[in-house]
Amino acid sequence: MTDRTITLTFTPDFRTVDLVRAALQGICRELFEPDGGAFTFELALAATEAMNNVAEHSGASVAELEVAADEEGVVLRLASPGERFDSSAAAAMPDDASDPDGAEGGYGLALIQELVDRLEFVYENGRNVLTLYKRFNNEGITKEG
Amino acid sequence: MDEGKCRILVVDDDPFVAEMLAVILDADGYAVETAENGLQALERMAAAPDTGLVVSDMNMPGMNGLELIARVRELNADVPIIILTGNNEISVAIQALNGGASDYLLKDENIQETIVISVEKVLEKHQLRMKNRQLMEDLARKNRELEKERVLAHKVQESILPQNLSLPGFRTATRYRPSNQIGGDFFDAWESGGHVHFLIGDISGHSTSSALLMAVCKGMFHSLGQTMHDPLALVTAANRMLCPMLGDSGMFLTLVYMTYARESGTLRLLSAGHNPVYLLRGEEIISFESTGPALGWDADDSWDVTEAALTLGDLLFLYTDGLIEAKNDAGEEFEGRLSATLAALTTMPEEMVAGVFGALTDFCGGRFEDDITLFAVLREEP
Amino acid sequence: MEIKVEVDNNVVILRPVGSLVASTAEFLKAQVAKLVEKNYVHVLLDMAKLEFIDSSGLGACIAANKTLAGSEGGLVCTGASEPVRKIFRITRADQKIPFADSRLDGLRILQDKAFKGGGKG
Repeated sequence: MTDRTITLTFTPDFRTVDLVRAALQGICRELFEPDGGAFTFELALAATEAMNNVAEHSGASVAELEVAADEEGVVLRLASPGERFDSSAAAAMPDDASDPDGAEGGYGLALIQELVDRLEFVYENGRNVLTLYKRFNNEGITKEG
Repeated sequence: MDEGKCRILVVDDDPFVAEMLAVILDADGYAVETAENGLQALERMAAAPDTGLVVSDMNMPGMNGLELIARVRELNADVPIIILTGNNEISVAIQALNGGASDYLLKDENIQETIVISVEKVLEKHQLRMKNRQLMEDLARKNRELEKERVLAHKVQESILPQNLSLPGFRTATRYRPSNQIGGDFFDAWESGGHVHFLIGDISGHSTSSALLMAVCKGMFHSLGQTMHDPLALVTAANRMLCPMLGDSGMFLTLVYMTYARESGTLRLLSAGHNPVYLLRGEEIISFESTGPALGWDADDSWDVTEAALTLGDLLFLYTDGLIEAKNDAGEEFEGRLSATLAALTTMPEEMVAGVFGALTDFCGGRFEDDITLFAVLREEP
Repeated sequence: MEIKVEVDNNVVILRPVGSLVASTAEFLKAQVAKLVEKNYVHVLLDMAKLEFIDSSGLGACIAANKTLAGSEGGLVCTGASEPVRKIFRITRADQKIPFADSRLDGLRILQDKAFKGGGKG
């Protein structure tokens, strides 16, 4: 599997995000980590946080999650049409303003940063595109044939 | 047409080009039809709804490729379309792709190879997309089904716990462990009009309806118990309501209902087909057996009521049959061990409940097949 | 997700089964609010059957702990898989919610607290 990309197109609401998360975990288990360990969990969590963000803030009616793998890791590209999303503001602001110590919200982007090896954000053709890259060898797993 | 290969419609106003493409694709195993213009193409599409792919020229008199895409989409929203053109302008390609084309090909000297590759790629991508859509639909449907069950189960789970009240003069302890299915055990305790009410019940079966019946019963006893304090009158009234509700469903429930009158210090106990209740008083263990049939069988049933004076230090131990029917590896039930287990424990309710549950866990190796509810009540200094 | 309920004396054991995420987090919060209404304030969250948690789920745990602590009770977590545990560490949520090594330890922590707090016996 060198060049194959799987694209999941979905409606960004919380319920569907959970389904896409389950599908992504299924794909990872099938392709890279049959026993569904830490790599799968963390990749799925990073994707969930990013998708929740789209569900909550973008107002988009459709979003796309593209899953691709090379020899060393997995690339996730999450694209959603809409106005440019200000990632720096989101990183600084807790999601829940009523929670002054930031205990309940605001983990999203910080979490993604902890969980993946590279994170890129671009706004192109009217779409917010967040690219996440996570390496296999981080968690000591190697890719199969 | 090869098995698994689809029908392709080739549209070009140049019959030579159309025929050439048809020959190439036919050689690759596809069933190919040709059309000379947009209108003819639409007729062919209407006649053969199983067309899996359209290859169309961009520049045609009458209806051009873009207009054809729009009209085809009205007929068959999903069919992939490849646009051909002799024009090497990027803007045309973008126009075609934005217009809904799946791919864009130049009619040049390589067309013989590029058309075959493009067709394969587009069809594979289309299939993946359809599979993906099917997968998402299946997932969504499954989720909706689960959700339906879940909503029902949730309401019941949350209603199962009684109000955690402080009852002066009593110290209580509870262990409630439902099995994996939705449970039918329930228990409750409250005080009204100078009487303390205690009840424990077990609904037959483990379906969603037994869980719902549990919720109904709990609510019913609680509201009857606000004004009535005689276990016989209360249970008789409840049974009259339950019988028509249960009809011939085959469902029933066993129950122990106890009231304690603060003024007289008397405990009145009614057991409708339930397991014995144990009263531990010093070294002595007294058991109160069932005083009549289970509820839900006959609206005219009646019960005896057992009376006992409760003294300070008395401990009542109630449970559901999940406790005594739990089996060990040898297939023996816990029932035979219960008296000895009780006798070996102190009469503090928390220790009694924890001790019995611990002994049970050791006995059956932690494999519980039924709901288990343990309920211990100590009469203590107020 | 569904949440199974057990009672051990004054402690209610909640066992979420499935995923605790944005679409299900409110349910946990509501369940805990109902427990507090019924005067159960010591909750053991048994995560052995929790397959997945995201930051909303984490937030729900913290909110639940806050609700319970406000009623002189508290939340203790147990049974979490290593990836789940790691998320609590990364976000430092484990500094707000204690983790117990086993169910038994968790019950002990909560029951000691219930006893000291003079909860209903």
